[in-house]
Amino acid sequence: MSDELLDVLGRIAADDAPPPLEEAEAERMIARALAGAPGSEEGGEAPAPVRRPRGAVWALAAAAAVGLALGLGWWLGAAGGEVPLEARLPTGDAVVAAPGAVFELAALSERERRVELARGTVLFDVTPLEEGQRFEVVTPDAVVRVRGTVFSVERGARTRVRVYEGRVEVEARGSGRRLEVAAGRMWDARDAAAATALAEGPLTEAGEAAAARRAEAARLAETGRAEARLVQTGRAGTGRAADRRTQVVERDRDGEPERDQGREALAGPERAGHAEPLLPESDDARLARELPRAGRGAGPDEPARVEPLADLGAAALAPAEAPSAREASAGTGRRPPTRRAVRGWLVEGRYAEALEEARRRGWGELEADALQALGRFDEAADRWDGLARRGDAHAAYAAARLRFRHLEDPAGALASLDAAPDGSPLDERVLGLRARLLLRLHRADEAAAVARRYLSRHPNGGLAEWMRALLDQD
Amino acid sequence: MDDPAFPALERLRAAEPRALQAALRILLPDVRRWLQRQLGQRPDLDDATQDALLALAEALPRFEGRSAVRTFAHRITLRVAYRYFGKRKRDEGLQLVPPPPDEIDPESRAMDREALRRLYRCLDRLPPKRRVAFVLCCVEGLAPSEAAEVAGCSANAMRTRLSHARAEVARRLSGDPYMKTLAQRRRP
Repeated sequence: MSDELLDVLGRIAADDAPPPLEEAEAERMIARALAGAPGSEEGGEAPAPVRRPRGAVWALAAAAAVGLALGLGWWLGAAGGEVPLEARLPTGDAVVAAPGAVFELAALSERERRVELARGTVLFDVTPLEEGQRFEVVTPDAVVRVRGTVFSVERGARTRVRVYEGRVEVEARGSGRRLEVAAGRMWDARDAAAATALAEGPLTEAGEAAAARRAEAARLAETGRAEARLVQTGRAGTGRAADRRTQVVERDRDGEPERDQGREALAGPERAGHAEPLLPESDDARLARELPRAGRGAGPDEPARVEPLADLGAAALAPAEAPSAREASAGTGRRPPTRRAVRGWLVEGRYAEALEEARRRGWGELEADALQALGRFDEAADRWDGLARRGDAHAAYAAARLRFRHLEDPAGALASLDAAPDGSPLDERVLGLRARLLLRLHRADEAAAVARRYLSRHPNGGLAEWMRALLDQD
Repeated sequence: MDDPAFPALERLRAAEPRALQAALRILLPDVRRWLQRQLGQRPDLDDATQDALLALAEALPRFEGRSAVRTFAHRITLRVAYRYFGKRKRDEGLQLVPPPPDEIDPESRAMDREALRRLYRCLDRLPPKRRVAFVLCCVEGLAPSEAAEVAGCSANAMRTRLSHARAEVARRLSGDPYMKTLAQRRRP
């Protein structure tokens, strides 16, 4: 091939004008771009007739999320999105939520991140903030302000704040009393005037702090996966929000039969996966119901001891008691790592090792999670599709989400979604995604049919408002 | 920026919505054209355009004026294009098409489109940096030094990439009978 022909091809390409863009559409694009600064993505799954800009930051952040890459959404938004078990925010902050945690990302922008924690325990690993930036966690009785640190906030009967790295400022709401809590210290709303030591002696060494943080993250992540509670609320700020709340209890993500001792102990009526009304249950009652289960979940191979949340203290967080599962198994040289332990590797960022082990042992979901965490979305989607063929709605949803979000393949995503059995526990999200995909594919009539189906099944669902808007447009 | 309507740098730095809106309006046709040239004809051009506008809306307030704003915008757009490289559906195969017509006629547009399809299919197989070098220099018509500024590399690196890219494109297309016919018929 001659240089001359290359130049000819170059000229042909240069003369090839892009398809015309209508002025109205151009204005809409510009408006979305201006509104699409970090923080405006809280709408999450709530779709628009034309897809919102994803932005590489969002996609990559989601992909790199410590163990997030699970195919589930991550917002508990005002419009009724989804909540993460583990997530990395686009701002780089890591969030790990314990089971039962109910929180809302009330604000997420470069300048302000605010999490409103209604109940449960959430661990935050906040990236260092710039001047003028703010990160707050608000509970009914405290406001926690940070400047780049690692800490957890537990909202049970009262608020507790544990700081693993850096320092935070805690303000007791009502009294306005503020206290700075340093690494290794714990603040309790009952004794708001002082912070007690988190462990025997302050965790001053960075290594100890990091180890404690990892142990806490692994502990929360592991229990979180075992009993994922995805809560959808009505629009925040309305007086009837609580009435419209629905609590969705996910089945265990590893759809294969569980053999881990801890997992068996965790088996309960919620494991089957169903939606149930969010009972006006007191925090204490909920904790009393849940915590013994978490305690029984502790098995000999766990990466970190699982202690009842209410008693979570120095013993559970001490680095000496939080070796990784692989280290533990390597020490004995006999017992292969459990699925739980390999899941823990994902939390620790050891994706390649997790992938290798998952493949060797035939743990499909773990393999898909590891592939996704490694950014190998194509392979992950294929793996999820394979699992979906068994009628696994979660796998079908995960594959579809990957194809849509990361592979820019709405048609493929739709095909993946077809494997989701009708009326599955994920029905609401499956219908939401299906409608969005159909819109992207300019199949408005079918999208409207899906919207009608959604509204007949979930008249008070988180996407009901959007579905009605879709039908109105239609 | 030559366009006198382009908002002042100070207003962009202050992230004034109206200034950003005006800047995006001016840049949009360029952004779309840059993306089209980098990515070729594909259905997700609008998505890429939207992503690029979003990136620009975020980046313009940080623009320090060290280069021309168009170069800056081109660089940001290029970063977005990188994310779309390789996303073309893998099962998109080549089709049997009639040979290129003898003369420039109403069918020449279709002929060019087929040639382009083959060219971008070939570019999809190039390492992204070489692909970018090829498009910037051979399609956009930038000099290697200008292309280097957009791509954020040295001029020498750009020349090397361009050289490799041209050689690789030539090698890959040399076995394509359609291109051979096209070369014969386009020969003066």
